[in-house]
Amino acid sequence: MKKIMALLCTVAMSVGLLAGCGSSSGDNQSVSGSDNTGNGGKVVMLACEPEVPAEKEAWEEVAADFEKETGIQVELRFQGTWSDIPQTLQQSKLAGDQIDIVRVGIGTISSTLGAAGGVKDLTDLASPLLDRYSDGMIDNCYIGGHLWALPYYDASSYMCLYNKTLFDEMGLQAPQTWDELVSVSKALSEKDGVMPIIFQGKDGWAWPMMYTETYNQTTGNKSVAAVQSFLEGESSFVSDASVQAFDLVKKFYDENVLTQASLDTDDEGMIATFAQGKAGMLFAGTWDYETLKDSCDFEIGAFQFPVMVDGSHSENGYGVGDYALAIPSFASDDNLENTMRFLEYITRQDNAQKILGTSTMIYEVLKGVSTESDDVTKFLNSQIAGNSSEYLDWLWPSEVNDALSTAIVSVISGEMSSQDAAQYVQDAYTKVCEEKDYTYAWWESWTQEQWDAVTPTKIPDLTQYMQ
Amino acid sequence: MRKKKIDAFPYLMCLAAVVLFTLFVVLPFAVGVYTSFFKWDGFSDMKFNGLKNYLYVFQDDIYWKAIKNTFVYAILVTVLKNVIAFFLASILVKNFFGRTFFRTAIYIPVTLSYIVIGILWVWIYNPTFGLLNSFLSAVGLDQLILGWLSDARVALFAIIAVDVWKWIGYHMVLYIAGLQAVPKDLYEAAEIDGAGPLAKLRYVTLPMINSTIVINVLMSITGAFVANYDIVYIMTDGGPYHSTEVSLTYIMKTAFTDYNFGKANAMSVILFLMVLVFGFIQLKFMSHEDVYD
Repeated sequence: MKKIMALLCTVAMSVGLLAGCGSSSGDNQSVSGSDNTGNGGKVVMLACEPEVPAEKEAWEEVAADFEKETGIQVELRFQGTWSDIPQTLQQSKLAGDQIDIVRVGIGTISSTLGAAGGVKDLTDLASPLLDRYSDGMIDNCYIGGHLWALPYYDASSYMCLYNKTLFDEMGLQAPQTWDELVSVSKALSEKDGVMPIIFQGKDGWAWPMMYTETYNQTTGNKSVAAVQSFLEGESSFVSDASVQAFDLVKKFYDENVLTQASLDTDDEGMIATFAQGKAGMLFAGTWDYETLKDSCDFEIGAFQFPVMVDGSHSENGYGVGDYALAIPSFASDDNLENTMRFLEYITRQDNAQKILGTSTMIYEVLKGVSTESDDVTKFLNSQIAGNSSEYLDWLWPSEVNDALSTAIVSVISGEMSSQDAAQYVQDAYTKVCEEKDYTYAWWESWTQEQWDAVTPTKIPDLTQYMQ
Repeated sequence: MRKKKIDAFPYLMCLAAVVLFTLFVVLPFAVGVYTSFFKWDGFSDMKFNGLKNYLYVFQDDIYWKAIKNTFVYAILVTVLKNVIAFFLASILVKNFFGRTFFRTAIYIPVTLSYIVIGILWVWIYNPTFGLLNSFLSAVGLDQLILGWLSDARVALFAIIAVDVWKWIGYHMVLYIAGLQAVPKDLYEAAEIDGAGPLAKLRYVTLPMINSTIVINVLMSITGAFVANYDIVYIMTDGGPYHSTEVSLTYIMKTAFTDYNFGKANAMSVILFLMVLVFGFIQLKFMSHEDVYD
């Protein structure tokens, strides 16, 4: 009897464990079996955990309102961080899970998901919604002339900020030129306990931000064209412009504008250092502005990245589509109408305001969604947005970006010359071409079969639902 | 001739564990080996690639740098954890006031996750706010102030120190259990024979706790080989310029940042074979029976 009981317990335990590993395909079948033509049905959205809890609540509120209006249920699946999303999407595909919308960076689509045929072509599907976007705000989401995602977050750019209160106390002006930046840095260094500029140099991915700014100038403000030429194999990365851009980043370190502390500081450390008045200036992305604004009890000012190359002008990295909404290629076309109705609903001005308004908006991506009105925001809109270049790390593959990050830190530390650094990046590109058959313009070599796999078979008429 | 009856009960009792092990360890491993022969980004169709992924791995300098770091990490962590844990166990096995407090204090880091520990130490090592540099400055040792996680010469050792600090308590407890099991009369006999402290350690303690040493070394070395991802990822993510890259962080990047699953699996297979050989050699040379009688 004891043996039988033991066996039964073992079987029950094993079955319990295995049941937890089951696929949710049963749920999908029930959804597919429901009426997906507008009356009932379900839309599933996969996204990373929102940075502010209020955003999650806003999504839930808007989804509930949508269900009330249309009868279509929305399942919001928030999990992991933004970098986990491609992996989670892939797991969902393998498990046969229903995912109708995925919130993903356009850079990931450009370098990975798009080339792999992971998302649908939205060119025709989303055309009725394009008027809802401010001028130029959807441009980054076109790759090879096709629209792959709809931006649904603030645009972002690199920015230089300074402690205006401290500058006023010390009688300093925001630097406009490289010489002024060096002079201001010297003055700040002489003040006890203050370093000139703080940067999140411990985060390897952040170094290409600074390189982008110098490379924009050394290429005569033609960095995107130069990178495209390099990625298409038409030119080598070992060029005067690339080498000089490394030299200029090193100059920050050599002339004590950047200190050793920046090499050891991550994003949170950078914000804390600046907020506590231990650094007079900061170079970061606008995605940090909200936290900075909340953390600093002094006035913040903004200034342009200094001109370091004669004949060029300051041009900042900029992009729209950090979190864009795409439709996975494995999503059922039968559910497209429901999916597009939800996209139409959330891009309405009032609903977009509810969701996007939970964060500090700097740029007006969707028309009518309000933005901050402080001086820094005004400066970024007037000086940066119209005078910018696309993020270079949205163009090249992750291997090249990693090589560039490694090369920059090596150059700064004196482990590598700028010439060797450029060669190191070129070698990474050669390696990725060999190992992964990398092609920059993947859309040009696609077969009809590949296009068919990402082209929707039916285009729902959204205009009947639009307000 | 009477046929021998086979008792199926023990096999049935093992069946559940065997099925689960097969499903969650053997099968994924087999799939991993299989996909290592393909070019696959995780989204598109797999393309057969023969042994090319293995060739790419052998040509990849960063992977071999990561393997070297992994071995340095594993060896240093194993030696430091065991030597320090044994030393602490030798002290804390004795009866003295406050013994329980010290045992608990040393054990507490074991209960914290790598995430908590990693973030805590990143702040301790921080050059601007960090306790370590502030302490060095306060005691007049400014010349020792370093960028603990940004200086390629010391970053790996800074992480090793954290890993050792976290796990010392665990190994100490095992050593205390081993030391408590050594019969006291052996020490008395050794003293009668004129043995000093070192001789007692060499001829009584170490042979008597051999199985504890083997377990401790095996656990720390396999842990250092295959469970160092979290701490490295949180503290440096392999930087600066791959100076703290270990095989697991590089495999993860290759798979989930570069979406090169075939090559990542080839790296995993090579790492598995190396750890297998290493573990086999270790067991072969270290394991022999304890003699308590």
